[in-house]
Amino acid sequence: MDLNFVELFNKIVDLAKPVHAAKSHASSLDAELQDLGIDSLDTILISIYFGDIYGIDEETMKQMRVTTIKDLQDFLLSHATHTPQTIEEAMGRVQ
Amino acid sequence: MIYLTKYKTAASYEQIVVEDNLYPQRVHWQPDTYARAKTGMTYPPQIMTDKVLTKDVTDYLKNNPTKGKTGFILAAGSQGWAGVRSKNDNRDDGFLHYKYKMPLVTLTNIFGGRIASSLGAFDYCSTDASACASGLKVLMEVQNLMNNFGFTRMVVLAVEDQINNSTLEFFGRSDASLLLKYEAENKPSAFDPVYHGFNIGQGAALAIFETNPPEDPEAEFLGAYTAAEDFSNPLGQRPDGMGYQKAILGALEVAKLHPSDVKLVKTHGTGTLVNNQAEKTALVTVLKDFVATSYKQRVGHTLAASGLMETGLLLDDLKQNLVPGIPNRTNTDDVFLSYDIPTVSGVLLSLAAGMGNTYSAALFRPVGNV
Repeated sequence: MDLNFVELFNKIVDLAKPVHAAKSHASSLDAELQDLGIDSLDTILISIYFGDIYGIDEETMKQMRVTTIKDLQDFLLSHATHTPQTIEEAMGRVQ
Repeated sequence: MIYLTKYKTAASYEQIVVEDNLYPQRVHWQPDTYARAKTGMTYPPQIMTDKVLTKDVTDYLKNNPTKGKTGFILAAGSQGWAGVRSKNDNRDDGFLHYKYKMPLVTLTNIFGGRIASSLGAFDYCSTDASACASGLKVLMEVQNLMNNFGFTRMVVLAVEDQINNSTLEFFGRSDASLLLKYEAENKPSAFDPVYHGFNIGQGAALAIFETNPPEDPEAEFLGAYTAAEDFSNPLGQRPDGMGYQKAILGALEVAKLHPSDVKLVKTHGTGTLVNNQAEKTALVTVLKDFVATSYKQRVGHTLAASGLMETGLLLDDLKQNLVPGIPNRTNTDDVFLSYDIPTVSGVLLSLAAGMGNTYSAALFRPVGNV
């Protein structure tokens, strides 16, 4: 898959955080959400966005428990009903 | 002294007709804020917030740290926005029907907390739910915190989810907003013997209050007061304007001003028959020599945002040497202005009222207008 998941994750964080909030961006799949300043509310919002991107229903997304970005990617791919091929396509589903 | 250092407004002059609501009516709106609203992924109040919480505002706050405490108040009008109080929305296929997928951030206290955090307002954060009085009602809190609790900067954001099926049905059902079926015989106006009523509007306002502003302020904030009145119907208003009178007199007392100091009034001015009676009676009873105007006929009734946003619009007009007359007046009126006049010197009184017997008054002295 060509899609750079870290880049997509950073774009979704930008969307989920308040527009002028300080945002830390991940540089690798091993980055932990907590270290990036992603709080519990951010996690909920991020999961809603990713659920729409990957075509995963809300009930399934509520079961998501992840520590790293790789955990998030694995969860999404294991439940996806749609897999975006590009960042543009993914962002087009939530903007 | 407390100063209004900065303010931003986002008013909606564009109109559309919402015909597929149970109560078809015209509204003032900003179409870009509804992009993807039906998906539940975006929500109009957030996009409206972005229009007033602009980068120059956040840069100002960041680049000019204050020595005392900083607080933030969200004047939200209610505890939850449209998606979480959708019982009124009986048209789930309607043009403006949407339900948020993010209910947590449509609980206004959580939305407010996120904004406060992003602004660095770490000393105080609260959310106000006093309906259409909200934008001015919170100024009593601003005044209290700054005069008595060591706050040197307060940021107020007034925004609400105004245009949706729930709100249009609520106001339509209670015969408060001007419905399409009455447009042939009626137009939005206020204090007029023929035309009366309002359309709902979308809007937002942001204001920064400081005790030691690092740059030229927009106005002196002289005082604010909010009162209730002795009335059994919380949806109505006493004809003698008791609530308004108490609010005006309370603000004057706090500001140590005399009624004759007030020369200009930004009325609540919904134009409903009930408000026309109450607000006009209160003003002519308490004040002596003044002129009054109203903005809801131009931008609609923006509910929680209205009091603060309309104050900002009037300050903008005063800079253009203008006090605008009230649109659609059918008679000549030199007090509740039926025509435009040049800027008036003196103290500006801003009024707002909210369902639930809430009446708010705030006093300002625009800079350069002393």
